[in-house]
Amino acid sequence: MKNIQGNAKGFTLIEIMVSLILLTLSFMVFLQALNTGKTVRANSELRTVQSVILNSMENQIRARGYDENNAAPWSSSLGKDSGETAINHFDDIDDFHQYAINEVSEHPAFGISVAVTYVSASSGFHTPQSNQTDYKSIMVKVTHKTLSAMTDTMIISPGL
Amino acid sequence: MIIVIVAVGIIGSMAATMLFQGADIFVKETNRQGFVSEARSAFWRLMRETQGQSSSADFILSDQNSLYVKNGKGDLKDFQTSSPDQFNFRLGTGSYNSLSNSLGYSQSNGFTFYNNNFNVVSPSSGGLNVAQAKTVHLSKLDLTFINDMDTLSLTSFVYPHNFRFGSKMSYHD
Repeated sequence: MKNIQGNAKGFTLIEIMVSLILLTLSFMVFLQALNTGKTVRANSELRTVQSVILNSMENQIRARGYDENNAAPWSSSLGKDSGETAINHFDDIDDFHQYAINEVSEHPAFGISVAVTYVSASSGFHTPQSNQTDYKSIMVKVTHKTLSAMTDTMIISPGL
Repeated sequence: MIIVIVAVGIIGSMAATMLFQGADIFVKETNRQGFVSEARSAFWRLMRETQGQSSSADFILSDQNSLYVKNGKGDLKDFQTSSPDQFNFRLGTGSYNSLSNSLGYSQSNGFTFYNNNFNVVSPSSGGLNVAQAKTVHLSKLDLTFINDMDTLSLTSFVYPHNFRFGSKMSYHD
């Protein structure tokens, strides 16, 4: 009878508090995991917007002709021509050279920059050429205030 | 005994609050993830199909709320936005399928068309006519998706791949 009473006295205060503290700590770990998921989801959304901006810029560039001149020799200088003060004045690809927007109007946290160079097939399209060639390399970079930049490079020739 | 009850009450309520907050965050994030995925896939479909437009003349009947495309195989597809929140897709002349019911119709600029001078081509009543459609060189897609307090605006210019190769000739038929 004495042994039964001894076993039935229940949990001590210390045991209950330790178990509750452990329970609370496990919830904190759970919340931390949720918070990490939230950050990943937010970054995924920002990456979606970043890739749409990149795609949009590339489409605007591809909609232009290869060069100001209709046939070789192509323009010796890359960049905007006189009178081309706005993007809707741009009529060829290299007008976008050094084009930059610090804050995209619909998404101010994002910025865009473009660099255009002549490249050649013999150098694997990687090395900028000082002379005019039949290929232009267009690098579009979309930056964000907290995320890393997203960059893409297109090679465009007069026939494509 | 009282101390035990108070201690259990305090720590237990803290644990319950945390559990409630965690569950709440989980549900909201799951919904948000679903919303973003839906918006992204709907917009991607729109961009991809527009990229496949075979000829500018096939933009005929398109306007701010409608976009008609025909791919290289001659499959007609159209996208429609409608109030209050519908973004639909149709293949051929069948029935419309919903791509998203989270569209913010009044917040979206819809579809805009530009000629080769990059000036806006304003559709006549009933959408672009043949002459207007043939001048389309570049299109702009601008949709805003809204779900409760969440807003996702996606805007992209689209220059169809085929436009760079010129119009289809009779010998292509």
